[in-house]
Amino acid sequence: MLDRTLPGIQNLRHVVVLMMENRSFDHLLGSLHAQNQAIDGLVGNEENPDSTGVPVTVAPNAAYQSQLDPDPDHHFPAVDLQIFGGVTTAQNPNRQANMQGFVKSYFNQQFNVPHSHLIMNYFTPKMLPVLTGLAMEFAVFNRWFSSIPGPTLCNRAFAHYGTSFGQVSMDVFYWNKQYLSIYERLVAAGHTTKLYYYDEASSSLEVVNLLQNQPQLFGSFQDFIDACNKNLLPDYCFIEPNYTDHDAPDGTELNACDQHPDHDVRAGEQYIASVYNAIRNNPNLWPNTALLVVYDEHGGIFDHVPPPPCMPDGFVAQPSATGTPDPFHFDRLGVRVPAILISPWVGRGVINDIYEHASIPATITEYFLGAYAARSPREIAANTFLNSISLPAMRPDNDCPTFSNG
Amino acid sequence: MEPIRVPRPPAEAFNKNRRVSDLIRAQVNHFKHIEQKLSAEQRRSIPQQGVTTEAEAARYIAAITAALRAKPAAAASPGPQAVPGTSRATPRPVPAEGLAIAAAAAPEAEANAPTKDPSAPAPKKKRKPSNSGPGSASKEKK
Repeated sequence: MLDRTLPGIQNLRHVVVLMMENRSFDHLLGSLHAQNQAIDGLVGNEENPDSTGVPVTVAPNAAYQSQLDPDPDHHFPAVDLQIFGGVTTAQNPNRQANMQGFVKSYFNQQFNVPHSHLIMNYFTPKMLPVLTGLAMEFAVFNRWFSSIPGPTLCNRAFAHYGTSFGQVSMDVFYWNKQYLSIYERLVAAGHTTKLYYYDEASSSLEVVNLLQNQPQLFGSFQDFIDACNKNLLPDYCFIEPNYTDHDAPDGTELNACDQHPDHDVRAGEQYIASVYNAIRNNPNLWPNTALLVVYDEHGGIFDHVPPPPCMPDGFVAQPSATGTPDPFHFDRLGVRVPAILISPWVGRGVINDIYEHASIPATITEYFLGAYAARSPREIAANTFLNSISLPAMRPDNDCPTFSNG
Repeated sequence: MEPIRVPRPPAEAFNKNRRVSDLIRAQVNHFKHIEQKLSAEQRRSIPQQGVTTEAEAARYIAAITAALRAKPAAAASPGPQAVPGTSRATPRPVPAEGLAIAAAAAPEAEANAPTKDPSAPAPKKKRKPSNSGPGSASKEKK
């Protein structure tokens, strides 16, 4: 239950969620364990066997681009291999997640043993000054997991609806939709809300339901910047990155900034910084806005924390959908992803409770709407995250980072 | 606290001829699903060549997104249909579908005057040295 007497909560007017693409916690933030041992990152001896049985140890050799090509497989069967190391339920009905199948999974794409080792690489803090800077200066979640051990669209659905309606793949059409999106709930209650995609050429991944049927919910990233500058930020907004390298209408080259392999991670760093700065540099927004930066799923990249069980979703994906011999009951989470809660009312440190993307609509519903029964069992059970906006006084301006051109 | 400097991608990071990922392929497939529902008039402006590269995907997606954004708000979502491979374990209450949604963002202006945000993406100009701020994720065309 949210403590509404907290001064940061009493000041809170806006919540902004920026969801990036396809990187695991250890890959982007694992190195921070050396700076703050409360961060559940990498000790340095974590390993996976390769296809020949040779152990491959994590290494601080991640590159901004051209290393994870081809895109590591993160469809349901591949993630099952990554999490369970290749042990099937037929071999062991009581199999335990051991996070030992990442190298084997990447090997399956090219049958190239040395290349498969690259999946164990991670970034150093110096390479990612924005994400690691925010993680060190605000609250980093040690246990934010993707909602499904699978790909992007079903995971993003949890951020919008608190469920994927039984989908574990990219074929998310919401034809069985019986729960309203968080945006529909807010609008019905008189609140303001937006999904900001980067531009029309990148558009949204929430195509078939919301963009098709409620295009007025959407705006561009420039609209987000304008809303910040004009103090017209909605109560709740969700920001999507640019998913493709493409030319703007005026011919300017626009880098994809989603950080999806094989896009340059630096463009995503710039994008995160620009979202943060748009709020941080406006004294009318900074005291009353909470920003969550989170990744949709791990993208097939190594993480060492086994995903925990969770509240079953009320749906079942049959083997024809999972691509494995087993049905999936939505009763365990996907691989851990980076997530950071940012506000001048948030102290530096870690958050250790378990979160997943259903925590997003759960939190927004709790804060803006209160009791709301018509939600998925997963969302109702999900932890909410605003209680970490808990400092007794706002941090001074010079105690919170700013970003500038490199 | 000193400002943290943000590195920018080099010019060679940009590759609009990169083959589309599974993600973009799925996104395009979803847009093709939408395209079939557009009127003949709307479809006339949609590029019809195949989508192999990110630039081609962007052109196709932009055309349909523009058509969707130009549409008046729909009153209802598609009705329930069976999805192969999924089933409900237990029936759940079904809230009313298809809220008529008025303007989604008509927030009240905050009390104080607008503040210029120095981090907003800089105007994107061609053939000038890069001057974009952190996060604009753009660079000048060569």
